[in-house]
Amino acid sequence: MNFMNIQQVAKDRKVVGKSVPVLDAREKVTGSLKYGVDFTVPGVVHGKILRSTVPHGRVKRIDTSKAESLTGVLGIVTHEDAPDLNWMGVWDNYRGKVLDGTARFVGDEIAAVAASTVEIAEQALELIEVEYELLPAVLDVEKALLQDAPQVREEGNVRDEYVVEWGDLEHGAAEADYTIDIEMRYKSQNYAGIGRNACVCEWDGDRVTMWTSSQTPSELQSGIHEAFGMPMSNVRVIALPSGCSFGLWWSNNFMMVTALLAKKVRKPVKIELTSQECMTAVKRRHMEITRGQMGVKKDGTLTLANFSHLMDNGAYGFKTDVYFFCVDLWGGALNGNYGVRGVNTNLVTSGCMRAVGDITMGLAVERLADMCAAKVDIDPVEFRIKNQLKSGQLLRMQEPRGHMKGTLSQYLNALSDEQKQDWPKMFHLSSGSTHELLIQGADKFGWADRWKGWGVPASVNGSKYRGVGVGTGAHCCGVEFGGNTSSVVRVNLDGSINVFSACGRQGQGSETTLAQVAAEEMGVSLDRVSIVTGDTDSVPWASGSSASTTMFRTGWATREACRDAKKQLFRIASQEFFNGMPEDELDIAEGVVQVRDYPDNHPRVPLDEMMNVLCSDSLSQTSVITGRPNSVMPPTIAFARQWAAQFAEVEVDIETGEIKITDYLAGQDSGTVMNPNVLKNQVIGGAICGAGFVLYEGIEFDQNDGRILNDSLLDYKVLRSGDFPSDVEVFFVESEDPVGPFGARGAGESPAAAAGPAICQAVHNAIGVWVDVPMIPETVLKALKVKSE
Amino acid sequence: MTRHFEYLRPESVEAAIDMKVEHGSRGRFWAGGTDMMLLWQRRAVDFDYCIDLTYIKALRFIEMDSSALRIGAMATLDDLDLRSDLNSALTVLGETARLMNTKQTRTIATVGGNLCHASPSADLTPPLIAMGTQVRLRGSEGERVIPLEEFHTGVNQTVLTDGEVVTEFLVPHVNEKLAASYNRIARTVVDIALVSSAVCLRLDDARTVQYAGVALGAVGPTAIRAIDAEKTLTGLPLEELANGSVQIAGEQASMAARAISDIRASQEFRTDMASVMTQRAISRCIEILEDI
Amino acid sequence: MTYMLNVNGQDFEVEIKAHETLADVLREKLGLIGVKVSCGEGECGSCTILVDGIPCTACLMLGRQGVDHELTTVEGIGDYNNLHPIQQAFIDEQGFQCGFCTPGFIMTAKAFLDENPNPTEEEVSIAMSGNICRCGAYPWIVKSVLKAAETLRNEQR
Repeated sequence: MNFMNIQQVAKDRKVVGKSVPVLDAREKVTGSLKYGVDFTVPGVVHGKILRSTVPHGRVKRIDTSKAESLTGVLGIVTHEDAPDLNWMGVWDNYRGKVLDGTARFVGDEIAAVAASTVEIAEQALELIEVEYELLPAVLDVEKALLQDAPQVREEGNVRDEYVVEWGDLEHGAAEADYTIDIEMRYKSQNYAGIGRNACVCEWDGDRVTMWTSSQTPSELQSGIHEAFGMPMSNVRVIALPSGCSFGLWWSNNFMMVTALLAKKVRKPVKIELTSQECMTAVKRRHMEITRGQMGVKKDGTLTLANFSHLMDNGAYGFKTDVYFFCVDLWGGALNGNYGVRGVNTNLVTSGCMRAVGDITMGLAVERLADMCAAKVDIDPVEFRIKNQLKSGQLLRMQEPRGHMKGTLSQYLNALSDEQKQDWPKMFHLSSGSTHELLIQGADKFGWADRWKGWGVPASVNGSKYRGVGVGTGAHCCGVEFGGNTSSVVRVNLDGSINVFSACGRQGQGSETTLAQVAAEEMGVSLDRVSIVTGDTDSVPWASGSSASTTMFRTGWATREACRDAKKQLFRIASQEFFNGMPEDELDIAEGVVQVRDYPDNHPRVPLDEMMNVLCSDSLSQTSVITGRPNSVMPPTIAFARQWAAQFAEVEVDIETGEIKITDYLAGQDSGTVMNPNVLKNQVIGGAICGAGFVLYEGIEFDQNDGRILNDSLLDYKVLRSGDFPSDVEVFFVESEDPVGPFGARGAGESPAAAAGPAICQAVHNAIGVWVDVPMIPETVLKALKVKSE
Repeated sequence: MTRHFEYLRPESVEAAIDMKVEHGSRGRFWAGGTDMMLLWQRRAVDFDYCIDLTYIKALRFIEMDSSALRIGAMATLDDLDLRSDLNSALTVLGETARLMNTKQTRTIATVGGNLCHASPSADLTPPLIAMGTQVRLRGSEGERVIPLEEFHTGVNQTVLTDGEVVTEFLVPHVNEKLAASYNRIARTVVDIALVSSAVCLRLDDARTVQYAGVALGAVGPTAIRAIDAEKTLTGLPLEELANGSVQIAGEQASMAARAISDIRASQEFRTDMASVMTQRAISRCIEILEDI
Repeated sequence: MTYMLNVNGQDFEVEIKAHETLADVLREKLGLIGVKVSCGEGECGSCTILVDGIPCTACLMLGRQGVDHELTTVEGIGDYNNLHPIQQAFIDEQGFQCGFCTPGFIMTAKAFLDENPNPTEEEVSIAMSGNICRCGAYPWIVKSVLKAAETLRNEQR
């Protein structure tokens, strides 16, 4: 069936677009939903991890004998027990062995103990004697780039640079009336999630089962297969809902350590991470540096966007780029070059955190663009409308990574013209943009009245200065050749539907919105749909809930699986009930199989009756209908993006530097809105994450050993209810996508990217100066002082 | 080794003191536990006997006694908030309490526990000192009453000897023409103070400043009384305070500060803000006194 | 040694070690996983329970300090088949995302509305600031509490 044909008209939709309560709402409000930390199995024993106290060292000697003889200790694993195999975490967030006897950051995993109680396991840790051969450590990303820097890992510190370029930089500079430079440094943001995590692992013969909070069940299954060199058929992951994750709980090495320990003691093992371990020993956002130059003409045309970006991967991160869609956001720049490079350091591993790259580099791009707009005295809304990419235009992020080039051509050549004919135009933005968001947002916000000019406060009351600002953000919804997706749909004898789709449950509502997709496509009510998301024994391998891709890809696959199921159903139904009518004229609506266009003139057969006939002795066609995607998904590089535009008003106390957000409006274009209540929550949740990044948050590392100093919420400040306006408004522009299910795209990350620029610009407009982030009171006062000098 | 302790539950002050004397340094008083629990879990304290004070009803009160306000050591921070209306001293103490951590920790944390933990940035210390508060201590040898500004001797250090327990705080002159204000700088709406100042002004019948207390928080190992600032304000008629004395007192407060730099704030910022916070506190007191 | 704890209206004989937190005792000994522990330091409010109707941070209390009090957890105000109006309001306004902080918010809201049945939006926002929602559902948490307040006021009539 041709996927391009029907994007049902919005008003016909029964489930899509409705704010149905999420499927686990009752469990959440009664406290009965089980997260990783709540999970246990009979006979479980408890594990604790011994962590390195040095930033870089080789284990010269490790003596576990005293620990092993402690009553209640069941077993201990060290690097001597671990396989000599590297495993890869999702999106290159981790590359390493389960344990390898080398400490690469303070807090690195060195050994683990299993005991009958947590207390005994903790005691045992103290009895393990470790002697390190200390190695020189490198704690600074620019130092780690140097030739003679200590090498954090055997592959070397420096990853290949990832470059996106178009046009001619020299020409761009020459054409500009003004060129402006920027350098921005960002602190590392901590996930600082509410919820912690635990992993429970049990071996049964050669088969391993793992229960843990994870957004990426399939990739975790792959990770275990790699780490232990075992067939995937022997690995079962049951991914549980997680607390707030933002990308933290994907596949983490502590899960592999749990598996190793369980394998040794041949009992189910539970390792529950402490709050401090979650804050310091798993993962964090990359610490990044952006240097850039933009060129602008007096009429506001951006002639040049030249950016160079450095990010630290920490000890085990392996990313070569951060996925920075600000490149496409400001794709109207006539000539561009964006280069990103990842470098290892002896700090805790860095990986993708919500709006990776776009919350960081995107902030620098927005700020530099604002500086250009201010230089030519053009309103920031107008400047964005002029220079930002519009639907149908050529994307700047065109090339897949160099090593994929051959594969892309081969892939495309292997497809039939018919398969390709309905795809959106390759390398062009398939739908949506910031255009409508900016126009509608400016109108709703009253921008024309509230904006007084660059660096001019909207109002002054004693020492309190108010200013308004606008910010935009983008992100992907399907990553360039980033992996497969699939989904399985089963029609039961009674016409109810089971959906099997790998996704995460970290509060983004995918278990509900995927079920909504299935219900809509299958033509049944939502209460007839039940979904399994985290069990790799039943869900087909699919890239998990990362990079805002679940709705776009797994949602697409779920819809295709439903179409496949209907196809099988209609083939038989046509013969048995509809006199051989063409299958594509049949439909299911409200659980009844019927002829789409003239339902009253033909038989109407309820789905359960249909299924009974299909499975009856006389037909013996099948016992159940199972559907899976039957067509090729367009390579997701083609060409969907999600867009956010946010408007903020802030109040700055110029005597103390304190900032308060006093008004907020968020606009989102993620195509069709599957569930407005779910999406509004995602948009503001992202905005609050972005607000934290520019206002308060930042990891402080010890200068000598890289240990995290603010390892608790006492000094790692996250926003509270009173720190953000309660009467915030969210609006949607629904630019339907030709590929996304019912026109829906992804949405989790662009709102986080738009918040920082909006708030920073508002502060600038209030007090007339740009402030480094995070804009804590002291930093605001420093900027004001510099301005007055 | 296994970390555990024995739990003891005295129901009177005498019983609590006896237990402490019996176990010496191996016994620790445990009030609300909001500080002790963290110290225990982080292995910053080591002891064998936990002496839980929370069942000693006699220590949990807030009441007036002639013209002094008496706050029992086991009154919770939430109690201060709930009794805000009692008098002008409690208005500022209630406002201050509401700045401290969260509602659900304030219902457990006690005034005595907070002041015995002696954090340099504790919010209650500056307003209590500015108001001239005294502390009553009781031990096996008897009782003594000392000014609160002499109670703290350093970071997390007090004059308490082994066997002594704080029983109450006495805030004098609360029914007179008194105004107090506490101002601080913090990051999010729930935070500890980066720098703070509390001012208390008391007028005589001629509406002249009879007493001025200026106490700074988070700019030294203990709260600091800005003596010169107090002298500047004392003896002035209320209506003359705004003629430059506020700024001078603010500068003097900065000079009295002994701030350090740490991951929360720099020395320079804290020192500068000591002046701003003090000036705002004085201005607020003037506002309150103009209405009395 | 065992002690009597009164939890959600019932008495239980529970083994409590002196150093165990009340949160851990309720979770592990009584299976009340609605008492959620996240920061374990009194910052996030996930472990909020009611002690004699007053909201308290259970991760900072000793298990023994729960003795001789009436303790209420989220399991005690409503259940799957019979939701408390506050729980229903959170569903109606979707005042959550991952849900981990939700029981703590609901308990804080219960105590708050018991004291202040007709709050303003600003008062709700400040009252809810003792709990952290890292997912950022705050505007809808505030709406949920306001909705619950309205429902409860209507019930009183």
